[in-house]
Amino acid sequence: MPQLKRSEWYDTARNVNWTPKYAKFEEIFPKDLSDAFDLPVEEWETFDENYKDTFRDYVHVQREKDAHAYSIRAALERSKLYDEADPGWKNLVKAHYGGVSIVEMSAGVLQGRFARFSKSPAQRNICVLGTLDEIRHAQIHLYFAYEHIKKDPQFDWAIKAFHTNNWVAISVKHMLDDMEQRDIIGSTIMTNLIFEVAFTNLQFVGLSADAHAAGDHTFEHMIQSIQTDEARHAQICNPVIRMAVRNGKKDECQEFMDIAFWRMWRIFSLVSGNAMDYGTPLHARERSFKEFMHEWVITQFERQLIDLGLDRPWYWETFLRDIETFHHQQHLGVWLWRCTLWWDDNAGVTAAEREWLEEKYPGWNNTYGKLWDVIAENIAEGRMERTIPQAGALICNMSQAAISGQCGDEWDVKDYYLDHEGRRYHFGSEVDRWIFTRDPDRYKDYPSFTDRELSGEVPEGLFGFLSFMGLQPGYDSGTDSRNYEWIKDYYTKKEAAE
Amino acid sequence: MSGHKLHIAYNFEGGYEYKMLAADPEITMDEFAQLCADTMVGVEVRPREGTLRVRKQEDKEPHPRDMKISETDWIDAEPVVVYYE
Repeated sequence: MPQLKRSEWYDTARNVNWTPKYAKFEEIFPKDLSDAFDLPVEEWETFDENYKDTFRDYVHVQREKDAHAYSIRAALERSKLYDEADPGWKNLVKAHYGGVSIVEMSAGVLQGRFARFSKSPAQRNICVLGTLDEIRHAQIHLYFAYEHIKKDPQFDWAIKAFHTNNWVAISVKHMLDDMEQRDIIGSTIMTNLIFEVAFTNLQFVGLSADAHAAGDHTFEHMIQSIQTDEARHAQICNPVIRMAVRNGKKDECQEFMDIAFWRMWRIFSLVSGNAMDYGTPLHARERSFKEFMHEWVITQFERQLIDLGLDRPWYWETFLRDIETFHHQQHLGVWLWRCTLWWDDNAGVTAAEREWLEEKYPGWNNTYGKLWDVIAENIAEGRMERTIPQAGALICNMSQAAISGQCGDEWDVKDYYLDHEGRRYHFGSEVDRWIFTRDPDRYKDYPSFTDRELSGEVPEGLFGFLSFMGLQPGYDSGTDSRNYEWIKDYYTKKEAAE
Repeated sequence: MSGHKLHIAYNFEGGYEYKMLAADPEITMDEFAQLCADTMVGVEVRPREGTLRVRKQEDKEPHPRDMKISETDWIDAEPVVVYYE
């Protein structure tokens, strides 16, 4: 029997809808899950994705991608690449596996929801492939991470992190729940547009380039294998947003975008900003985090927003300033609280690295550098107990990260608090506070780490604190990735002579 | 000393983040400032000359140095600024 050409059957197969007889349409597609705007189904049937795929072609291509990535891993398995890798890079990879593997699985559940609850048959069709994408991403992350577990128990956090109360996991979960637990339009804008178009490009393209420069070809090819999928289903958002804007819902779409962009930015900055500017070996840094942001997010993403009929977020100037500052502040806290991590954090502040930081971020030495000077003196003098914070941080009720600001000569830390229904909520920025005010009932009952400490949920003392987060000192609790050896290179020759 | 302690969020001059500590409400502003300094000076910031003062974040003027925490209107997790005068 002759096969039909794809062009002869594809459009019919990908966009089949029918009129239900045994259940009401609104029971099959509940408003809260499918379409909070209640747009006509005829509008949804206009969904037309740019990149079209069939199950047969999809399986063929994915099989080849997997074969390529897994064969490189197998070929390099017996090499000593990992053993000889830079400690900063090794720990960046550990942080990545713990922070991303289960997030991919969660994205698979979200794509599955799209495949079930979208009122567009074409979106349901393409999101079946999206579900398979995300499951594959979770699997390849876990498989590759567990290659190293016999050498290092911290790799167990690839699967463990999101099943604990670790503060990083709590922070990411809060953001993901906010983005994924909405109707199809809200979640499509927040995840496909913001998570994937705006930020995954940066994360995966940037990390892939850094992996190549660091000589970690297994990680490099794994990331590339995933990125090609993300680029494909990132475009799912375009027809959904165009449909909503065409039907008079621009303001609502803009608000979804404004909320998600900031939420994603703050977590992304904390994780990837630190990885790129402090974790990646100096010789392997393609560009600074700020430069990546300007190229991949600002230039390209802004173009896409205009194309979709949306505007820049209202807080654009705050965001541009944040690119210069936020991840440096958070890096100080992450390194000082290194015992609360599932990786060994890289200080990344040798004399050469400080010179690079000052060049990329003028004023670094007079702000963050002033605090690093005190930390370095404590290490050099053997006062290690003073390199661990003596008091806990105040945590933002939105980003779930420490409330931070500029330090040293430009000290400007501020708590953007809000009193609501007799309770005080704390925020790290005016944007975090604004997000809360858009829907207080959505956020008000989620306890931040500070709330958990105040309520007594977190046991007192450092060991109780770490145990609450699922960490065991001496086993998987983080420390300095270079065993403080970097202190020998902290001071320039001129400073050392003085 | 009373049994109940109040959690206070403090922003110490030169530091990079708000921190939290539990303080006896019967201590004075000078004693509270010293508690904060103990966690910050020589840990994150260098020692320096000057008198430490305490003010609510939104206030311009500091509290009197001998004022007790129990005499303020601070609530749990009140954000205050600790700075050198």
